[in-house]
Amino acid sequence: MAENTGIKDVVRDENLVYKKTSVLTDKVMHYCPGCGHGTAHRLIAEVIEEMEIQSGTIGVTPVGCAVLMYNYLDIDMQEAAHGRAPAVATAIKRLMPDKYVFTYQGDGDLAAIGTAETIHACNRGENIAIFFINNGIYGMTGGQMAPTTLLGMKSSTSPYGRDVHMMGNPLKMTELVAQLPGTWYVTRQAVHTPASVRKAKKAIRQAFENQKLKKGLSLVEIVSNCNSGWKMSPVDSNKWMAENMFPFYPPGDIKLEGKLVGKE
Amino acid sequence: MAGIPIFEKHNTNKYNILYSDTMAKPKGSIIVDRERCKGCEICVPACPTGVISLAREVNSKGYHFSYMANPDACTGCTNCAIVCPDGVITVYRKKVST
Ligand SMILES: Cc1ncc(C[n+]2csc(CCOP(=O)(O)OP(=O)(O)O)c2C)c(N)n1
Ligand code: SF4
Ligand code: SF4
Repeated sequence: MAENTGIKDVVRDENLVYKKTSVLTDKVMHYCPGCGHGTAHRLIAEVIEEMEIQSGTIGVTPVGCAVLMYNYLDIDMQEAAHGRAPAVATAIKRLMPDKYVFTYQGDGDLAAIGTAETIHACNRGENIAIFFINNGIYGMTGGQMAPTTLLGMKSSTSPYGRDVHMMGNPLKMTELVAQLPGTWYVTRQAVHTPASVRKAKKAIRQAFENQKLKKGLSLVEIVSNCNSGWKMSPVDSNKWMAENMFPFYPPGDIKLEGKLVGKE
Repeated sequence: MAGIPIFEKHNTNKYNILYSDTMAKPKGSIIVDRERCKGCEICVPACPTGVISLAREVNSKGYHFSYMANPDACTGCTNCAIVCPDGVITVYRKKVST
């Protein structure tokens, strides 16, 4: 009888349906409560576990809040200078072509100081995966405006909102690199709801699987919150993200198997 | 409600179906690692059956950790666990026939 089934009958090893993957270490992540970086780390770790490639994967970490990512994933990782992760990953992949190689970069790292490295690695079609966490701001250094900051969005260096005449337009790096012949798979995802998490995980898996094909670079953008930088609660920041970031950065596939979605 | 079948396609409330008296229903339970929980509250709106609340007590870091305020409603769907940025939720599920 259902009424008699208590928690003790349910909490048993044979009924386990979800637990934290062992590819994540037991260290407590330093991220602010509710920050999407933690969810993105966990999805990458889960994919590595499911593909059984823990000893065959090398990650390259950025400068930004995720600089300490190597403490949280139990795989080989290399820290790169600010923005240089795609160049470091290029070298690693070329020297060890059988390894799964990825970079993990924020929007400041990937779309500001590292624009050249990003574009050229994409254009060369390096067989790596880039995971791009776009929170529209420099989180680590105190919420300054990034190239990705939305028009009108307030940041510590655009306190009255980003003004197009003074500060230019926000940069859609993901759409931009999708135009380059070297990219094989380009998609934009999010990790704020259960449905978006499931989709983002499939995209991350695809980016790893693609490395076997040797057909070019895979880039997965994850639109994420920086609730501290945006000065909102985590739940409110996810709502704000869906309402304000998604119209400009719409989630969905941009390039599949080397072809722009909706073209041809 | 004669004539309106509960499995009608446009019936969007799937929990009517799950909880209809004649079905085997899943009974779930979550275990929250209280010390690692940062009380971000992301799991609360992710739960489709309103199981989770933040505790009045705090952990050693001062965070109001999440807990099952309404344990009977848990179906073990894993929604809360997969949105948790810190991976602090473990989920169990058992099929129970009535
Ligand atoms: C060469 C260099 N220039 C500037 C900095 C300062 N700096 C550190 S992190 C950062 C921006 C990080 O922003 P983002 O990549 O968006 O990551 P987030 O912290 O938002 O995850 C900057 C400018 C630095 N560490 N090194
Ligand atoms: S500052 Fe922003 S990006 Fe960095 S951990 Fe906090 S919420 Fe996340
Ligand atoms: S497993 Fe599903 S039903 Fe149970 S608490 Fe988590 S979200 Fe709610």
